[in-house]
Amino acid sequence: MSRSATGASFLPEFCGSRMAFVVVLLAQLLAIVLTLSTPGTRVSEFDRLALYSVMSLWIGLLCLGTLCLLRRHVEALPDHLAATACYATTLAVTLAVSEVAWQLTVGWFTLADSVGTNHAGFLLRCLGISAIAWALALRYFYVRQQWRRRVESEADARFAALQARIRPHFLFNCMNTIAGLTRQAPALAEQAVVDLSDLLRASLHSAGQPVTLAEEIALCRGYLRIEQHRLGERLKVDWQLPPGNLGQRLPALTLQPLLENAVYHGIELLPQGGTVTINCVVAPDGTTITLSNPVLAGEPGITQRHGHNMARENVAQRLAAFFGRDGLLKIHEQPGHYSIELLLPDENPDR
Amino acid sequence: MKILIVDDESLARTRLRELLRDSDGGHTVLEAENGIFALELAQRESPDVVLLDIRMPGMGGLEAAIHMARLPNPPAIIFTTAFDEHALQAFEASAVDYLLKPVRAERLAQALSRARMLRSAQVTELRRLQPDARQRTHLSIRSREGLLLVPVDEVAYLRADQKYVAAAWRQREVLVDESLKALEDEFAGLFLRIHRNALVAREHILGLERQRDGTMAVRLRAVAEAIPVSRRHLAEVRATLKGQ
Repeated sequence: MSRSATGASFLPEFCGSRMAFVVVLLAQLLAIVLTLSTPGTRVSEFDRLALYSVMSLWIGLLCLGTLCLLRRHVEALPDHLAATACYATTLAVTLAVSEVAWQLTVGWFTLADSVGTNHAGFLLRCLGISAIAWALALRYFYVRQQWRRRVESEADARFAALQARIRPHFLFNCMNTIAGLTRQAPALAEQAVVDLSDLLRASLHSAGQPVTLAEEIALCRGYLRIEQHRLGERLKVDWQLPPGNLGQRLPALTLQPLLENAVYHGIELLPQGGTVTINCVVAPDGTTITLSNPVLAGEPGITQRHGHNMARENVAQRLAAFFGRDGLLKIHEQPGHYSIELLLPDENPDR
Repeated sequence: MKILIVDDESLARTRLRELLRDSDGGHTVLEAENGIFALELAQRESPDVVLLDIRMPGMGGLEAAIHMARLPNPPAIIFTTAFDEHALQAFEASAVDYLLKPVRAERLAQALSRARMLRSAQVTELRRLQPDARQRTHLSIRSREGLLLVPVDEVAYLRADQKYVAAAWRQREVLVDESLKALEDEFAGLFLRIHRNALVAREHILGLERQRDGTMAVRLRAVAEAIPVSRRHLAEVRATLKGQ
């Protein structure tokens, strides 16, 4: 899920000098730990450190190189398979290097003292150490990668929140409408300017600023008046509001972006237009607002636009932050019809 | 000059019309509210220039431009848009003329003075760069009466013969001058390959049936004959039918 959202892979970048440096450092630390933990034998401490270093560096760097080459192929796998493949690779490389080391030390350099006499035992010891060291290292890389990804997606979300406030598409269309109205109907042009000013003012408020439902509805009416100039007969609006004063509090610009979605993704694409319905029901446990609109069903060439989800998620986040709980926004999608339901709980009145 | 204004918003059309009137250029102005009407008008009236909005219901500007480029006397096209990042990138990249709404009178005059035809290379480039416009809603068929627009979702099957591709549409076959491969690539979600020379509309499939000679064929809604399925594609067709 988060892979597609951020475009970043589950696997860290294995190729590169930074990673090589980290692996060299870890391998060297491991060699030092091993040297410190074994009692002195006929082989001196420095010789042992040298041997351990050579061994751990070879294993570390060869593993890294193999992972670097493999990364492209493994990346396409599901996350758990990719992780398993990487781990298995490190173990295989360890085994291969250990075997080569055994052959070299026993056969060529006659350094049997430093490796012992048991071939299988030597391989198993190397494998065990490497298995633990790589498990820790891969875990560390994984955590670091996750952290980096989270930082990136948080920054994205913040940027999206800033951008979602007023859509450039709407702003420039609105300017065009005003330019068109100025000559033919100056009074309507004036009203459009005032409505637009209210919208801009609201969007310049800091996010999550509380307003009453009545205020938000007034803002939405202004927004829809502007769209009405543009779309004319194609846009019909049906307000189903309960009588009385709607004093519930909610974050500013909660309904408006959703209405904008209904117009931009629904009504605007329908040659005959349609009706946007805003239904509001006040119950003891909270107020439920349902926005529904017709959409184009199964038209070829219409792909779900990115902005749709962005505005919706933005609203969901702000509702969750404001009321301190999730799941206040529900979506019902049918072919040709879209509706979105908001619950404003009757709690937290002091916010 | 004869100028066709295409925009779904009547205010936007009025504004352009007034700008053109103010310019005293003695232009003849025509108006259409979406791509389909625009194509009809363009065919009948052969305008010199089309001012074409991008986002319109029915058929958008980019697709209308693709079809207009196939007319016998293709008009020069100037796109108009309020804001559309993808479209702007596409225009810049393919050197197509465009105007940003609200349109400035001087910019309009400038664009008209150097209005030029859309070359087919530019059309291809536009389609490549515009994710939403890659798939057309209509096929344009060249016929003796002019350009015929066939809604893609009404086509039951596409079948390649030696030199041409026939599309089954409303109980008859019309000839499409595009390759079956290109059509398959563009409309992969709508059509299913059942034979080396045939694509059928997924929505039109009623079922598979065995023929008297033992081969398999697909039965389509509102099509009398069954369309043969090749053995190579049979497994895929079965899987698709099961999935539906």
